[in-house]
Amino acid sequence: MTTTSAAKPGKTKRVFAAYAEAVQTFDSARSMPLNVQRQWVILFAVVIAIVAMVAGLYLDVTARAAITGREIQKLELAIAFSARTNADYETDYARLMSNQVMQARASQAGFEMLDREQVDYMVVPGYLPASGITFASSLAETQSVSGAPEYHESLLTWLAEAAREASAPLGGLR
Amino acid sequence: MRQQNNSRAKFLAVIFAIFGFVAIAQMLRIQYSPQAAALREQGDVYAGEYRTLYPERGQIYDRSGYLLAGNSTVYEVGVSLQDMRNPHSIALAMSAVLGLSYDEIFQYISNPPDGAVYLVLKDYVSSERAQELQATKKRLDEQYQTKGDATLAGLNFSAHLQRSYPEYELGSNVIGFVTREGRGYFGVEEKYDDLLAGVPVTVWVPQDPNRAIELPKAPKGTDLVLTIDREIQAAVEQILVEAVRETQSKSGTVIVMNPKNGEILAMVSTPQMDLNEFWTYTDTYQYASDFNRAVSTQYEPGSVIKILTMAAAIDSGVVAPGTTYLDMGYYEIGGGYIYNWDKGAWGVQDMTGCLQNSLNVCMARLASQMGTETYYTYMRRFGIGRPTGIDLAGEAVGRLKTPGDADWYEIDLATNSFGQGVAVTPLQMLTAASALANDGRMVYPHVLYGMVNNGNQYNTPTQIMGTPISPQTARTVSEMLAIGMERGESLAQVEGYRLAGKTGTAQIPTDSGYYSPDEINASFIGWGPVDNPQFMVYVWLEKPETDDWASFLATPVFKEVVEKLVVLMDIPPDVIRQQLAGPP
Repeated sequence: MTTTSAAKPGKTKRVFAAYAEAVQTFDSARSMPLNVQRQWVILFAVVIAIVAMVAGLYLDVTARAAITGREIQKLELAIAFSARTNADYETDYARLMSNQVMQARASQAGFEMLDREQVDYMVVPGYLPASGITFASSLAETQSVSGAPEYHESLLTWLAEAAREASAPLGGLR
Repeated sequence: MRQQNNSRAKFLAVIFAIFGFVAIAQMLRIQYSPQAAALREQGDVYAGEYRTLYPERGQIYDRSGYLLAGNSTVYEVGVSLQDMRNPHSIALAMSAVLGLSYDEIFQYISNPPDGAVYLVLKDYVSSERAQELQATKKRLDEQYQTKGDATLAGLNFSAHLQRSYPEYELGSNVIGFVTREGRGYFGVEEKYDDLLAGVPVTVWVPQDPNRAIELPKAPKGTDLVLTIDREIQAAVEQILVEAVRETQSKSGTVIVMNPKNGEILAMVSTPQMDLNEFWTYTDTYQYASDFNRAVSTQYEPGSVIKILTMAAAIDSGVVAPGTTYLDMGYYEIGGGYIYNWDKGAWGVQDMTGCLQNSLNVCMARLASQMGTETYYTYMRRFGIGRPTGIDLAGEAVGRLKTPGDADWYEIDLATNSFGQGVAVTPLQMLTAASALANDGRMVYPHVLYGMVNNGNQYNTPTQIMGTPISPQTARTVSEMLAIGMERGESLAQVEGYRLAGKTGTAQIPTDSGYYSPDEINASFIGWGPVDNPQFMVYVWLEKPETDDWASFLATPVFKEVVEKLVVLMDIPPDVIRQQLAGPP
């Protein structure tokens, strides 16, 4: 008794076999009843429509992101421009109020520097002389908006954090 | 036949499928190949740029909030070579508006360096000039559309900030300036350069709008509030400039300080310069120490130092105000002789007369009686020979020779006591004397009132440098000086205000080791009101030519300054002030 080992089919043969099977399936599909064929076509059309919708949505989001990006770039330029303009205004104002200019304006208006002999002193009840200048401001520079956690944490992390905050005892820790 | 067509169709389908698979495989291979990675890296270079965001330099204010140093917009004007259409019109416009050489600009942009795509034609162009150029460019662009005339296409304007000083020369010695490289020189600008400049931030800025991010903020540099009072500074500058002119002095210096907390209210040193034109610095000053002589130039102060010698002698118990001695007109010490300023003998003198008449013989005796150790211990306590630590750049150390130094001789003990052979800066002298005006406590002089960063203000606290003498000694010497001024009918007196002060006429040592026969330094130090000092004033006129004595040169300047101070600082005459302070 002799045995013959079956020859291993080549790669091309296997690809061809798969293709032939697919063609056969397609042929058999064509032999299906018309209503079944119609259902398959509708299903295919629905899949195409869904893919098109997703693609459209993606395109829309991408376009919006691009527009927003451009707006951000424009706003950054506007911020820089505003900062420069503010600095200009402040310096121009200081120039208009400079000692030199104010003295000239006062002289033109007929004022003259007070001499020691011309000063009269009087008691003003409740008057307190100024005790120094304060530049402190509550409008401190804040953290940038995009630095807030909403802008960089994932949806799941955000939900988990929201849930944790919601479940925290009222009044906070003591 | 149908069977045959099916076979052909299947064959073609297989061929196309193979092509498809090969194409997809090739796409994937290329996508993940090392060459692709290299190309992606090259692409990233052009996808954005590293940009360094320089923060706006902090502003400088006076103690009332007036801006002394701010920032204003200037422009860098350049040309983008690929957009340039007409180099002739660009060169012409730059020549007409900015005054640049037409030929140089035309050659430069017509024959650019290899690989250049953008050329800077001029930086730090003022807003007015830049606007003029922009308007010209717009007008020519419109004409170009209709008539095809000359155009300034390719001319670009890039705005940035530059230091600006709205008060021009006012306070220039204290403020210093910032060069176009953004570095501060002299004064506050140099001392606090790091704080004012802030911290630059370097970020990657993508060109792709899909990857646009909010740029991080480069926090503005710290704002500084100075102790300088603009009105006092302006008044003192005016007085000093006039005094320098009248006395034909080489230069002049005046410092006004609050002796109780060390705040410098005004500091002037001539000549001054318009800080907006900092490049004229070398035309105005020969040496760096000339920029602010109040802190950077040391000189032999002469008789003003006698107030320290007298304070040391009284504090150490060597003499009391009523102690008398017989002034013979000379004093022998260390193989040499000390004479009075007039070479005369003044007979019996008490210590008040000693100060009032500014007797060198008296001072030499006092120093000799104290001895070297006691005398130089007091001088060191007064801070003579070391910097005060003021927050201004370029402070000089001064020089106090002491026993043990190679160039110290016994006679130096005597000459130091009346201000020869010892070098101080005007600020050192003022700081030392603050002990007399502040119940024995010496304060650190400073020009920084406070700093403002991110909405928070941090004020400089008063710091005591030391207590070289007792409060009793301080009040005693102040009183002696006041009496001396009243007795001597000093030109420094201001009606209604009791002041203490001392003149100083100092000879000037030459390179040969001898004193110049015809050059002097005239100084005056004083404070008031004596019972509650609110200001100290130091005046120094360098090499005046109209007179030989400080009492006629520096003293009137002191008086003028005080007359302004009492008005600007709202200090009523002593009688009214004492009435107001008394019980109702």
